Amino acid sequence: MGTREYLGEFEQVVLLALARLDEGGYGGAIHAEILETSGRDVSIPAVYVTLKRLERKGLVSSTLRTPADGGRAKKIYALEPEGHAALERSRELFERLWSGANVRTRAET
Amino acid sequence: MKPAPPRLARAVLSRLTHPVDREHVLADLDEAFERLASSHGAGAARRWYRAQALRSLPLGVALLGDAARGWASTELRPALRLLRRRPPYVLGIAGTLGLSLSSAIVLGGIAWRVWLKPLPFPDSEKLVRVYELGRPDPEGRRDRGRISPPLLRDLREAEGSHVSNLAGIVSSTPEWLVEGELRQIRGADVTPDFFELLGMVPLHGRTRWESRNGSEVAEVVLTERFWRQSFGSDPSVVGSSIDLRGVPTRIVGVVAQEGGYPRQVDVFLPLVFDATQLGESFRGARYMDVVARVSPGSTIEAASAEVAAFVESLGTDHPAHDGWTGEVVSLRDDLVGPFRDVLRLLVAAGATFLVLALVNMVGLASTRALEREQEIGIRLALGASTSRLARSAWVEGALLGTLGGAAALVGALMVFPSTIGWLPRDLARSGEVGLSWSGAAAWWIAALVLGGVVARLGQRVAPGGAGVGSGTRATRDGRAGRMLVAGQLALTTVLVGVGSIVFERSLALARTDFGFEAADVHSAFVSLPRSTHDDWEARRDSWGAIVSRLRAAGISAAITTNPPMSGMNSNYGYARPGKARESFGQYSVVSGGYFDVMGIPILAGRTFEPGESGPVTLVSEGLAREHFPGEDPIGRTLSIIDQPHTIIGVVGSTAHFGPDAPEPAAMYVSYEATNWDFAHVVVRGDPSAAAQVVEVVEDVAPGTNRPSVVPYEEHLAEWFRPLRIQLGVIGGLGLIGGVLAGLGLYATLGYQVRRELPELGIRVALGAPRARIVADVVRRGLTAAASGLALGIGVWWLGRVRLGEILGSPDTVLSPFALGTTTGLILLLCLVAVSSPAVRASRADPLRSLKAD
Repeated sequence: MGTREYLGEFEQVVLLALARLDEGGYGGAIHAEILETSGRDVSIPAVYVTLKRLERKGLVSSTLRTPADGGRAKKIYALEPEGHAALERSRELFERLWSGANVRTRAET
Repeated sequence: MKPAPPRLARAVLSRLTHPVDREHVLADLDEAFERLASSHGAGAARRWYRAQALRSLPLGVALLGDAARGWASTELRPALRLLRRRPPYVLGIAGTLGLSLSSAIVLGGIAWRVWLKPLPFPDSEKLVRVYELGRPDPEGRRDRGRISPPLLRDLREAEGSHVSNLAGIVSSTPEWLVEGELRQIRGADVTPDFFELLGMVPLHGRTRWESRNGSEVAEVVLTERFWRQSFGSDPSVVGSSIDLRGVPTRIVGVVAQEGGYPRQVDVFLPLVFDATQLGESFRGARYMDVVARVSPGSTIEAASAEVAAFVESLGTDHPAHDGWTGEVVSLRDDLVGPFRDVLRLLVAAGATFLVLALVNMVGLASTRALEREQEIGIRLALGASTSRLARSAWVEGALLGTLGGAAALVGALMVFPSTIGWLPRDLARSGEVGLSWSGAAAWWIAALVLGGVVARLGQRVAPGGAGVGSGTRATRDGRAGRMLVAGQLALTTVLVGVGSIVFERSLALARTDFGFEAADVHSAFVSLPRSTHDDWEARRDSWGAIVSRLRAAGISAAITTNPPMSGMNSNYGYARPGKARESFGQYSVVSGGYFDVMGIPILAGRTFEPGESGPVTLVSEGLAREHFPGEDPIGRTLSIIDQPHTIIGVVGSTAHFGPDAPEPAAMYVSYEATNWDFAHVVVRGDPSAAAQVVEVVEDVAPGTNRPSVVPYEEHLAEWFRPLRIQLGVIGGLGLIGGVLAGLGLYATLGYQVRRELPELGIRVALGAPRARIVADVVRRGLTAAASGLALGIGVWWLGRVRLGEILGSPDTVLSPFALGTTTGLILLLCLVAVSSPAVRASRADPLRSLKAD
């Protein structure tokens, strides 16, 4: 990914959900995090497809980890520095756009 | 019991997930499902699971894209790379497939469109044509005759159990008075049940005649094409009147006319019979085409037998039917008439070429597999599976098939328009020949599949080629390949041989003396308007004025009703008075200058003088010789159509029906004694003379259709057209056969040389001269050529009688010209085909052979 490119909306959602999880997370956990914080029941396969794309872009990395208690092996994703930078760029962009934007809230109308 | 996720949804989700992540995705889904089932119940968990499947459906598209990209990088690119390295192989396979498939598309397409495709009428396979068959000749052959009005009535009234809905149709050329000008249009007079028989439903109005036998209600049904062209698709014309044949005629309907039957019709008019036409004297007036429907549950054979028996039974009471019989044939077959055999031949040729091409392509592909033996061995050693190698072969073959299919479609699309020009005009549906989009798509897919099959078979046939086939004993020693090549060369020999016979015959016929000189002669068919020329004197005056006006302009001009080799045929009876036996000959109404214009020599006596209206005639030399042997025919009497005529001259005989038919006896009478409302105006001179014909005819007889003046040589060209078609078709088939046979020989020898390269290298190392190695390969090629040639000549000899029948020249034999040409061409072809393998053999590397051992 070129450093000047911005994230897509769903990519941002997935990255932010991952960022909220301590020590990374797997697909199911990211899905649960999105559901809990936004109320959106997104498709789990779609989460994986997005994670795969983000990994190709170098924004996240994955490792296969087997829990100590002997549960199933999970693919744990972690945010890379490039991922942090991409999220930061997205936030800055939105803040710049919001500042000075004449948007009426429902209460005002 | 622990709830399980819905199976279908799970299967869908499994499919929609990339294989790398599948296990994790399904495990995460199961985990979430269990959590939900324990918190909200199994039903809610299942609903959630299904919703997951539905939400994930769009991923399928992305997954397909991924799969396509993956396939392109793992399969397509290597295949393209391999093909790029071997252009001759690509050209060989794609070219062979393109050539054979395009010939199959064209030949099969012609047969399908003009013959095999069902007619566009309901239950069309039950539609038949009814014929009356004439008395047998000494060899038992009967001529086909049409049906007379009394016979049609009798057949209807007989109420046979096998044939129903008999309808009559007669071609006509009604004159339409439009905007003050008479225009001749193409009509079909049909009996009331004709439309119902064919299931032709009116687009507007009705198709049911109100006219009844003997009544004078003038009605017309327009064909859709004519209605669009001449009435601007205006539905309100139905109910209005037009002037047809000088009679106000009501347009009662518009009907779509499809499928080439009946041919080229502008309007349908009622065919009604008066009492005379239905009387005994009209039993011999066989002028009507009769179509009918075979009754449900019956067959064409049963219907034919029934009609035959009925006509034969009429012979007892009606002399006109004595010795006659009847026949019923499928209307679809009838429309192709005598061309059915040729169409069968075309289909067989197309199929044969395709099979031969496939076999040759397998040969080429197996040579290719042999070449890659080492590379494939390495891939297998590195762990490639045989199924992977097979898949690669499929992809490579399918690519070649796609290329070959594209070439075939381009070839077919280029050839189809010109086939319409080649096809005989008598073929009713020849105008429909073409390639539909769906047909093109189907052929292309077929090419793709064939390409894949060929490549895979080639891999299997090559011994150890892909490590998956062992090859058969026959392919190992090349015997099967050589036999196949010999068969192909035999077929090519026959085709080239027949082509050279047709070519030789065309040359001979073109050099024949036709009895007249066509160079610089132009002719124009003129049909005088009936409304102003219904009496003999008016016609005489107009014909006379046309000829004299042209002559006054310094143009050598004349008229004739029956010019030679123009397709006209007026066969009339004549006899010497007192002789009981009547003979038949060609009867022509001409003006005095006809013989001069056409270059027909006057051998004795004189031609007609201006104003000569008495019963006098000129006869041909052949007639004079046969009927007045040893006598001077001048001044003798000849009875023509029961009228005595005095012979005033003898002229040279002409090849009326072409140079290969016997010259018929000919009688000429003056247009001032008898005349018709149509004739050909013939002029000799440069094209400016031809241009004046139109001007003079329009001036003398206003309302006449603008005549088309054509060089007389076009009539001759039309006559030679079937020969040209034969030559073109056979030449084309010979060329395709030759290319395929050449490729077959190349593939077989190439395969053998490739396999023998190590051995050849050792032979070179042991001191064998390279020239001997080349000679050995050439000898093998020529041996195959000689066997093919001998086999082909044998088949040609055995089938010469049948070939003669098909070509219309029973004396077709092996002439020195045909034999020499064929042998020369086949040997040349074989030398070209063996040159590449021979060169390859000569380059056998001893070092490589020794290293390999």
